[in-house]
Amino acid sequence: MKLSKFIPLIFVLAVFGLTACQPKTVQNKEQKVENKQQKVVVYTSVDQVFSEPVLKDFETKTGIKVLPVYDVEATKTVGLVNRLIAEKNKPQADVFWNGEFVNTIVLKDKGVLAQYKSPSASDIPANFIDADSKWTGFGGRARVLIVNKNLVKPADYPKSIYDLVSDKYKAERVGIAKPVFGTTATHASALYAVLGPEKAKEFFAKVRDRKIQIVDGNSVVKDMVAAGKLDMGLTDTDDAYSAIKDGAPVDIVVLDQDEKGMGTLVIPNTVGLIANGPNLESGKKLVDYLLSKENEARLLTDGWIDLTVRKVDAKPKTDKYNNIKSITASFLDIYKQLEPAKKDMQEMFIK
Amino acid sequence: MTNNISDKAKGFCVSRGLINIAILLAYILIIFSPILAMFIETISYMLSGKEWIGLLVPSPRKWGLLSQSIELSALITVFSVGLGVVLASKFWEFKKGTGNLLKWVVLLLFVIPPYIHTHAWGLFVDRINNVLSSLNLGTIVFQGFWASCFVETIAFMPVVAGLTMLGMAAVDKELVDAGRINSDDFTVFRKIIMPLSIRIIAAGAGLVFLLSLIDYTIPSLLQFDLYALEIFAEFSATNEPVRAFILSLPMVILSLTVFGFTMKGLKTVNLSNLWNQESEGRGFKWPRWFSILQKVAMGIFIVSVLVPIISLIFEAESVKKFVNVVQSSTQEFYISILIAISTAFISIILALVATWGISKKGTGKIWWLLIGIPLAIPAPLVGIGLISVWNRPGLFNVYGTELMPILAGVVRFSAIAILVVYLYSSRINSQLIDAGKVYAKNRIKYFFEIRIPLMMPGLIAGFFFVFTLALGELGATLIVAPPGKTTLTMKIYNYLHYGGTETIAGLCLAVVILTMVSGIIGLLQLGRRK
Repeated sequence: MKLSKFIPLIFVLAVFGLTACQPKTVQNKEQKVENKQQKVVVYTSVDQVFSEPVLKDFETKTGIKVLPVYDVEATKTVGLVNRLIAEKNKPQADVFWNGEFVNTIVLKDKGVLAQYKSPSASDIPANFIDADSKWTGFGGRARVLIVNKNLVKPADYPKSIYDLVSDKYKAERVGIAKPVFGTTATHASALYAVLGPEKAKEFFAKVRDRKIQIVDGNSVVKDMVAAGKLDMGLTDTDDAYSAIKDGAPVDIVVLDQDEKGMGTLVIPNTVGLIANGPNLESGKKLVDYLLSKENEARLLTDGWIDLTVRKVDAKPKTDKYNNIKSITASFLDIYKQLEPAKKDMQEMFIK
Repeated sequence: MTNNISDKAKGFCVSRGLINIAILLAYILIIFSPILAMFIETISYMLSGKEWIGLLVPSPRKWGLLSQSIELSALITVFSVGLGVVLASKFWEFKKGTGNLLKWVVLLLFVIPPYIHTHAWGLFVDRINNVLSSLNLGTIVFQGFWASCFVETIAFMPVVAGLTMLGMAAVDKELVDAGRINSDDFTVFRKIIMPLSIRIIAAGAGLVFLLSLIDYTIPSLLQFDLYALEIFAEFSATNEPVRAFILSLPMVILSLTVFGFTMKGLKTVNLSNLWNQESEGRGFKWPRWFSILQKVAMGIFIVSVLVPIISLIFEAESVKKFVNVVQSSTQEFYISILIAISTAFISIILALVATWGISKKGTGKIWWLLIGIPLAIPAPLVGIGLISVWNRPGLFNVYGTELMPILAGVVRFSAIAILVVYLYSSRINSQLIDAGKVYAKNRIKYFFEIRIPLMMPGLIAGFFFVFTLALGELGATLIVAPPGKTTLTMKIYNYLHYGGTETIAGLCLAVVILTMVSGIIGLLQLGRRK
């Protein structure tokens, strides 16, 4: 009998074999952890490249096995949040670590989060802590303008978000992500909260009518500006920083910082404990760890956040964000505008 | 005595009928439970007095989105069919040796996930633009309707080409030879081969239409909005899957109509045995214009394979980096392969029983309708439906294990396996089957020693299709993946946001190599079983 007859069988068995023969140490370790119930399940929308090392360190320091689920931008923010809502009656997760705040408030409203006052949050300002202690914010990213230095002189950098819709800049050379998803949708809600729905809608109507480039996501804005396909575009600080790290000829501009300016949107990370999660104590420990000063400092150094909610032992990569003026609306006010803003943006920008 | 036999036959028919219904019910339970769960929630939402008619009856803007979705999908289908048929006609000439085997490599193009095509073609156009700019010749704007149409045609064309090749290869050789005595080769192609293959081509066209209609990812990256994106926007804005489900219904109905219409012919398709055909004595002579078309199609095909692979190799930077990327993702490889193989394995088992069910009178029509539905449901809604069904006490703690993404893959892609296996099984020589039934000692022996070996190439092809699709699945997997387990596709998409270009390229290249290796093994098996 020819051996070649068994090629597919050998292939299937080899793959199963490889899968089954994961390093024994890992299997044993997992088994051990299983037995002791020392594990914690965390769902996170923070990029894996930043969150994974943090979670690994937590594992090393506490001996608690972390089982993460990472979100991806491509699912248009309908991934983990909706999974948490769907799992509400029998939660699988213990902790939700979110890279922004509106979806955390959505979860609070849907009854997914539990009350927990973390001792690590004692020095976090009250406006970053939910009134019912269902979530806590720390470290922030900001909405900024990323500009291609080769294409725009510093003297010509825009100062306000309104400059983007002025005749001074060619609309087809300016980009924003579709304001229906992600932090760009949150930015739209923030403008609704600060300017009022009418004025904010007027601003976005100008964005649409001037035919500013509406692209698939913040990372696409960043890539297009870095490649010189756009002169400038609105994005988040972490995206802008990754372009700088890759050596792209880009600069970061924080908009509306004048005395009369409305400030820019600052988006904190938020952490919440899942109600009735399977590993309550481990969950609390992870929440404490994530909210700790050390973790905030580490994320600042790593480049995930650019602003901190308290003094930490780490320096930001740039002075641009020192004394940053942020939009005055509260997180709750912004959240309240989320649905009407998204509905309007949907009508205006999906066509 | 006669009465006795008649009673036995009657009893046998009744029991076969019961088995048929039982299989249908089992299929419904596995595949449709998440969709039924969503359907029940939708009914209760509608009865609760909340507004829903506005979702079901699209506004002018939504009609606009739906019509441009149909327009794009229709054009992609037309181009895919045109390109696929011309390409298949060229490959059809290779009747023996390596060429006969290698022609099936066209299917391997299908293994390159659509996002890799988009990424690679974007880079390719950038390089062309650099050259054009240096020559002051302007630049190509690679976005919008036509860019989406181009990339999706490249991505989906192998489906039509592969099925057309299957259809053409199975046309009775004697008919072709008889035709060639009195007519020129192109007339034979037009009047004999095409009419006999048309039903399979239509099935391929239906599949491409459906796949392109529900995919928003490529057009969205290329700045073109579709109705499928509107569904996600609604889901994102309200966090209510039911609203997204209701909004998706017009698209689902449209998809099912087209799917049902194009699959209609398959029920009566009658193909001869592909592998029994000998090569023709002389090569085919085509009109000059058709030869040019074939060369253009071959050129597009070669470029379609080379552009993504070369772009990825360039971006991966070096072998050392590629190896590092692969080594740092071994866990993701394990879990992805486990899920893809298991999904494909379960799907072909379902396909095996479904094929039997489809060929029966009575339930056959229901089967065709059922097969199309899971293909038309947006992936995250499948995931949410699976949570509704499986995340509850007493269900063997299946939820939270690797079985969930496997189930998600089976729900989404078993229909593809069914189609492929059905197509293959419909052309198995009935004389062989009859002989098997007579000579096999019992039904079990007949099934395992005759039926399964006869269907093996079809099962391998179905396995390969589902394996590839499951490897690239994201929307439903993300919703049900067990904590601590990340698939390669999840990791690639996570890095797409961060921008680790060489990591993305390395992982994509690894996915392509992995699927190509499995595809080549499948092809070798198909060749060996000739």
